[in-house]
Amino acid sequence: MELDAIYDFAVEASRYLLAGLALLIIGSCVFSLVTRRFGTRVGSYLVEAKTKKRIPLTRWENSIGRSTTCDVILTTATVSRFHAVISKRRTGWVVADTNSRTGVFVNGEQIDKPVQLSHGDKVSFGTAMYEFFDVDVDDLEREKEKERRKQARVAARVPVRTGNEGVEFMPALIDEAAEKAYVIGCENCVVGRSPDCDIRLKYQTVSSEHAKVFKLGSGWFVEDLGSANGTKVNARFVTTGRRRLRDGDILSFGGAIFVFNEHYKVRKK
Amino acid sequence: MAEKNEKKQKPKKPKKPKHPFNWLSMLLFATMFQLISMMPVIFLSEEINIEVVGVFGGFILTEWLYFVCARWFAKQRATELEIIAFTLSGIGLVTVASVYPNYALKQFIAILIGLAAFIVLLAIMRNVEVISALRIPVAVAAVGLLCVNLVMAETINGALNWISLGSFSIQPSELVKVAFIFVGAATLEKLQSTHSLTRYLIFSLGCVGALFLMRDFGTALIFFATFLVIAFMRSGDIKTIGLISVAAVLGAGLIIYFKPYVASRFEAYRHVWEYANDGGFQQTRVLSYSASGGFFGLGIGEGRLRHIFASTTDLIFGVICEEWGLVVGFCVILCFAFVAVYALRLARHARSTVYSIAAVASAALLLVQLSLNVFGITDLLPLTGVTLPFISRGGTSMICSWALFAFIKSADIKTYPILEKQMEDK
Repeated sequence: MELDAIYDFAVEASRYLLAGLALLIIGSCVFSLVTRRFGTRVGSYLVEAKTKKRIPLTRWENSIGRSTTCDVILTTATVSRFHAVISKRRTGWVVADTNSRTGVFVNGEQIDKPVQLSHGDKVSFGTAMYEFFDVDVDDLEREKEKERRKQARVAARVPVRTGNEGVEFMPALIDEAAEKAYVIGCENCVVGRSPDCDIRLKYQTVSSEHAKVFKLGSGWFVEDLGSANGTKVNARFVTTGRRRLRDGDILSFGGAIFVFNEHYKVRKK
Repeated sequence: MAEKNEKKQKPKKPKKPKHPFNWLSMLLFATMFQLISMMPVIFLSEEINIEVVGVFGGFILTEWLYFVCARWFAKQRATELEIIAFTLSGIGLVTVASVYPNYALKQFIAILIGLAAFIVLLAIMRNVEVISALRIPVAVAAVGLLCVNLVMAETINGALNWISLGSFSIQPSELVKVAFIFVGAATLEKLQSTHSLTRYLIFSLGCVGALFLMRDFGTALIFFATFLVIAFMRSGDIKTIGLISVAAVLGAGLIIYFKPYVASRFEAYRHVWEYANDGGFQQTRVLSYSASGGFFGLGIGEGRLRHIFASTTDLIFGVICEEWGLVVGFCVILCFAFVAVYALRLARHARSTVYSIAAVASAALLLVQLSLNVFGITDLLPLTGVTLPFISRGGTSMICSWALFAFIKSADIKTYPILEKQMEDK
């Protein structure tokens, strides 16, 4: 008796449960349809040859022609109303001529059956010229270019400067007015008017043996050799002893003025 | 403090939008629905029918196996269509098993074959190239099948559309439905280069004509409606389609004028209560019994419509309304409405016009068939004797329904995760 009552209750409850579950199933399906996003993604572009205007191909199959029902509407007179179709297939982008009057040309050759398009191909519909632009490939190439530049930057950082092969750096006296450089070729260099000097300066105010530029340790120094008009470093006379020279110091032998450049670029012999 | 900062700076994983109904919960709902509906059938009789229990167990096992494989191994991300297909098949299986327990196994095998056809068609539909290559062979095979049908078919229930193969019989017109859509779908490139419906029109005329000769007017009407949808999707040429429709109406008028027996089949239409015991027998019973079911039904196995002829085929919707309730009956109709909306949305973003046409045409075919069935038995349309997709008893009809769902599903890029990934990687 009790079992029967339970059974009856179960049957009664199942009627309502079935209706509720049926509504729940269809409701959940509708919910997932409503919340689902169907996005379109730009797959590639046609770039007009003259104006460089970009025409996006947003569908998997794009009809091209003069008709207003086409996905890509070309207004050129030589384009047929339904001229061609560019579609994305498993192997990539494919262009097909759809019985157009003036034909489709890929890189100058007329096509009679569907032809695979690659990035940068020139496509003409009649006389309308376009360049095919695959976004995926384009992205890839941009990425590669970026990578290449980055690597170049890293490589440039390792040696101080690149492109300096066959070149050495030496100290020099630079006559900026005459745009002339006197390289200091030895470690004990005599400057003067005499032809025996290491650096010969043909100025009236320079004594025959005017001064000495020499290396001591890692630095360069200047010493006056008893010249008539004296030697100045940064407008101060070098009277006794030596004076340390730094890059960019202004040296004056008599009235002849030079800039000291410690790393003057010289072609290697 | 520093650690805290580090933790804060860690990039968070982008959260997936939370979905209250994921596939597992939907599958659980469907399974619960099926289990609850199966219980009365199992305990209805004094003795428990082992075969029926086995069939029900097998059905639920198949369902779970399919979903687990599809989700985990095939990595499919959208399985709403299968939920609907399995739910509807389940309703049909339970109803058939409750009325004719001996047919349960046959119906279950039909579901299995239908599922296999679904999977195979999905694989075929993956590549546009394969579809294009198969179109002409399929068209030839379809016409051939109809011719064979005309020559060697048997007349059952007034229509000449059964071919008997040993212990079971098939209904070629159901298989031709699938072929009809398959042949009708074409790539944009094809559509744009021919711009003419002539070849497809000839094929369609052949199919519809053969169906007329078989006196299967319901299916002929379904084909015609599907043809209109496909023709519109292929050409967008409303003038031609209008012309074809006018011609068809005139042709139908002529047929009724010269062959009055055709009209006699429809004489009870809109007058079923006057012919309550002959021409309108089934319709009147459906109307009164399904009304007695109310919103929540009498309970499975408790109805009286089950004793009327064709209760598990043409009248099954009436049985559902009476025993399962109007709410479930309404949900069945909503399922098809959902499928139609789903197909329309998929079609707009499909990979090719092939998929758009196939999906929309399949949804239209299912809707037309549903309307002819439901409105036919409720006397809103003439009773033409077509099946209710997925639910009615009948193997070929079940296979066809699954195959049509494959067309809709193939329009969805989410069906092919490998393809989707390849496209993204490239």
